Amino acid sequence: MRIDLPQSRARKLSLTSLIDVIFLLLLFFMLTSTFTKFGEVEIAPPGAAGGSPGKGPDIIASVSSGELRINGVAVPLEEAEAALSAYVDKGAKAVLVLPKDDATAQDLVTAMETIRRVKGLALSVAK
Amino acid sequence: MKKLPVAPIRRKSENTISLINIVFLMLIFFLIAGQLAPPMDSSVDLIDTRDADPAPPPDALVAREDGNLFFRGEAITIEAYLAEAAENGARQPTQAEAGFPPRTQSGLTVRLVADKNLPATKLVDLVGDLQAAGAGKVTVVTMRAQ
Repeated sequence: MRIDLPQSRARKLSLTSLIDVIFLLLLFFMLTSTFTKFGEVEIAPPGAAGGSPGKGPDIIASVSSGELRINGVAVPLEEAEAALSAYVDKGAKAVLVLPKDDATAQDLVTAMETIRRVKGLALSVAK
Repeated sequence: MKKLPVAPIRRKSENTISLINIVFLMLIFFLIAGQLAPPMDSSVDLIDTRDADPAPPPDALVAREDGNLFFRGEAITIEAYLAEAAENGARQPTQAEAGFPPRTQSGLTVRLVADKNLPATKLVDLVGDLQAAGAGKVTVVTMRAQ
């Protein structure tokens, strides 16, 4: 006796479920990923930045909005690096940064970055 | 009444291949280019820096422009944050295990996300308060220039 087996036909693969899953994955990664590059800057109080203990700072830099005063002399931010290098050549080792009332966190961090670019200076922040 | 056999409606299969192609490309782009991170506090403008050390996306204490502290969207005090961080820190791998040199300073490293318009004196106060409450190193999270 011959049995007619139902002919198995290769059905076209349904793409709907595949797209479903891929869309879900796409949505998940679109919503959760971040493209901001983060950085971090340490804020060290006096004494913690490796400055010589018991000795005061050699340079005092006070930060107000858009201006830096190095040992009392107002210096534009672009020239601060050169001015600080001159102090380092004379033997300065530690800087104390004092933010004024009108300085924002952005001003403070910008000033700190400028000072960090000068080699050989220990940086600490106080109020 | 005689029922007429209705011819089954044949839908032409749409050309989904190209759609999937594009969606796949987007998926791969986001997979590779993005970093997974919990959403940041949207009311905070990060400080811009040029040469800060690179850091992973923060899940950190947030200081808004007015100086109020938030953690994961909820107002929090320094003490409560430190207690929570100490609890979570015990479960996270230490820096030595994660391939970094071991911490030399005692205490927790606290990462602080500060708004760029936060008064600097308030920021310094916050750092002082954190350290008085038992934090070790305090770093400020910034945005690196692209």
